[in-house]
Amino acid sequence: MQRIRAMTSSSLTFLERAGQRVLGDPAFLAFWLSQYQHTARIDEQGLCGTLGCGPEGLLRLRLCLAPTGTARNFIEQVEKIAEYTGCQVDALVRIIRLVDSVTALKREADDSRTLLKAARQRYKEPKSGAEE
Amino acid sequence: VPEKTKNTSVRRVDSALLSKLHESLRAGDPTATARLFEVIHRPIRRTLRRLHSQASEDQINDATVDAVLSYIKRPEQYRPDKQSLFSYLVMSARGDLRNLLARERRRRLKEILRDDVELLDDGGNNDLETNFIEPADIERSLVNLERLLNDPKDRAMVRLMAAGERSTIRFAEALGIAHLSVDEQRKLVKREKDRVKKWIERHATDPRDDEQ
Repeated sequence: MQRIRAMTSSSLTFLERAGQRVLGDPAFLAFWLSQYQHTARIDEQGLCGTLGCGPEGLLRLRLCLAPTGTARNFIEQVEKIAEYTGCQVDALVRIIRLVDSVTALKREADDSRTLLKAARQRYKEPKSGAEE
Repeated sequence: VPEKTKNTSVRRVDSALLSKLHESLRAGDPTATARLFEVIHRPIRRTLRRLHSQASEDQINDATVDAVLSYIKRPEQYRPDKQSLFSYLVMSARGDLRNLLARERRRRLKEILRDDVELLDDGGNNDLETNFIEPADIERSLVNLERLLNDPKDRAMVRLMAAGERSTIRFAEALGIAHLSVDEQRKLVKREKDRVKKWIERHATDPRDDEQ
């Protein structure tokens, strides 16, 4: 649909800014890539290396919507993104799967902590009640 | 919008491409968002720059991002039968930019009024400052300022102060005293600024202004 062309410096600055704005929004790939960078402890250059794309491709990638892992057309969506941004399909799939797993594990750990806290609370309550 | 400006901006936007992007976004194409940002940001920013020359590049960029993100979140709110996507986004970005500019004006006015509080320091009584931080009062006061100031020199002073102007010579020019010595200019500018600040304090913080 749209030919990939070299960006001007003002375009780079703008797209960089737009990418920063959606860092906290899981609907955008910016969020997933940022989570991956945090987990893998790599900088932008490292991320480009992992994805097999250049800095301009990374700017575009951040502003793409994240394909949902459960969707039937997940791979189709990733392929579209890869074609547009110049990144490698396998690498992007791995990153999304990894962040998805880490997020699920974190959520589970948070739930466990909440349950544990609630259990402790319940264990303490009758004791303190008995003392009164 | 001047017809010439409107036409120039529209001519540079590929409306067929924007329509396709709208359809792609609605169809769930994950690249439509990035493509849209890439295609539309320059024409929107160029238009905003023409229409709001007082806005900074950062404000223009922020307003553009806000408008595109709002559209991406709710593309169904855009009605292709009513207007072009470019016009829709420009309208939305202008609204965002006006809000940003109004917020900046309020911030500057607060700064002016805070300076005034320092000048009128009464040893810890900060009732004035409490009044100053109500944005609604300040917004009302800004509207009142234009209406209530009769002297064009005072209006010029307030405009310079609200714009964050610090240079004595700019104030001296507005007051028509640029021919005086620098020392005299400083003295007179300070005196006039203090007078106007006190006037603003009185009129910008008193909600009864609206009732008068």
